[in-house]
Amino acid sequence: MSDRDELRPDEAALLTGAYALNALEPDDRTRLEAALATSEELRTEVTGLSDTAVLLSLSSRPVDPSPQAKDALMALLDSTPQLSAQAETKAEARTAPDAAAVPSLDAQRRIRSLAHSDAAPRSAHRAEGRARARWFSGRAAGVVAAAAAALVIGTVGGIAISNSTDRLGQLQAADDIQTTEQAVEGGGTATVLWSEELHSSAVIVSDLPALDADEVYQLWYVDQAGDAVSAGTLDANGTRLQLLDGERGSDVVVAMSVEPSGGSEAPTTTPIMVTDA
Amino acid sequence: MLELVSRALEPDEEFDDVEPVSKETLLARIAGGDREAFSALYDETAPRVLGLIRRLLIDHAQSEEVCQEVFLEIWQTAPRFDAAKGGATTWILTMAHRRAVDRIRSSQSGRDRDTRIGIRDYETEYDHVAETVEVKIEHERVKEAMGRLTELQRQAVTLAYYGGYSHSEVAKLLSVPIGTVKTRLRDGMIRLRDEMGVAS
Repeated sequence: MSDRDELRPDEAALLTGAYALNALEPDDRTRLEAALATSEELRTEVTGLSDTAVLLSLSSRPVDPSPQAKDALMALLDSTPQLSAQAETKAEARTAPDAAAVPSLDAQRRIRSLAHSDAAPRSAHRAEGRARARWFSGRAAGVVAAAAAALVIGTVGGIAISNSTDRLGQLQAADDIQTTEQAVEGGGTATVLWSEELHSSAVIVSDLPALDADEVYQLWYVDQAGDAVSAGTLDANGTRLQLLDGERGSDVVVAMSVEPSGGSEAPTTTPIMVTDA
Repeated sequence: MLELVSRALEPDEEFDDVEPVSKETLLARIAGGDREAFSALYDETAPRVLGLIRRLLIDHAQSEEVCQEVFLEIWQTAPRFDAAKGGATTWILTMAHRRAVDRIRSSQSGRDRDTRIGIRDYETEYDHVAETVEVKIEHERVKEAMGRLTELQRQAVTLAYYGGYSHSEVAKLLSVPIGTVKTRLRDGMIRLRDEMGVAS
């Protein structure tokens, strides 16, 4: 089945249970959501079954989060802008092109010159009317807040918690902290924070498209000669904050590419995000 | 930053409201950038959210991460919460479940789960559920409704919801065709909906 297919009403009706349980795979989910937009009956059934699924969750044992988790969260709010109330309908929002599209990497051969900041791709999907929330408006406060969250977020890619917390804490306190926000080719944004003095960088990604199971986002430090050194892989669901692996050299840029799961020694595809030099 | 945090935790402001405020009202306030409302909503719902996420992910550190992400998403998207479309609890827990499932499907650890969890028995999951009357009641209600499902429906629903397995994974685990799983999930959920008296 191609993901272009529209579901027949009887096919769509069959998927409501799995949908309510979040058990559909992305293709089917997208197609069902398209069907939901056109069928009141289907929406009613999905609503009822989703409410039922929530009752299932209510029987799970509550677990108290650590107190630090709340502190870090509250500190993050400042740098986490809220969306406008003006929203797409639910179905539209979830099936928006940039949410579903996996970057077409073959189409990105043009981004070869990593030294040119202008090469940073702008996604065509970032159309007006879908103005995305921005994480930073150039204020250091945002950086401080983001780093605080590292207490609980930011351990993907095998970074030890204590290590990443220390280093993010140091990054937060650095006098020469800098940030840049970049659009990611294919959808989403990446904000890179770094300190030259500390040879350290972190990245916050938001709204990256889901990848196939055998793919992963990978970060790179790229020097002026164009040589790339892996800075770790990234789990891109929702909003992520992550310290980059390794030392940041001088005169490097940070890039991100889609790689086979497990990551690569060197980029095997064209970067979908490159920071300004 | 610290000022803001400590201000949000100021007892006077925290406990000023004697009247319990509904989560829907809190969300409306959060939509306007109200941190105290966010703090209150967090206090009220985070244990539920984390409990659900942990049930799926097992790993505590990862669960805390996902929980954080869910609350950031709540903060970001509260302006788009529409009470006419459903209650706040539904909105929040649906988001939490979805994010937990996303994490399972995207992470390497998720792929290792099969060996750690296998087909988890529904009942044993509840051995530890005893803390509050509310949870007990909910548990009994779910247990009773689950009891009305056929064994096959129950397995499919349990694997999908508490295990975070996709319908094709459920099909593999139960060695049945995908079409059969879809039917079981739907029939099972409709049965549960009716048994638990969910208005539809």
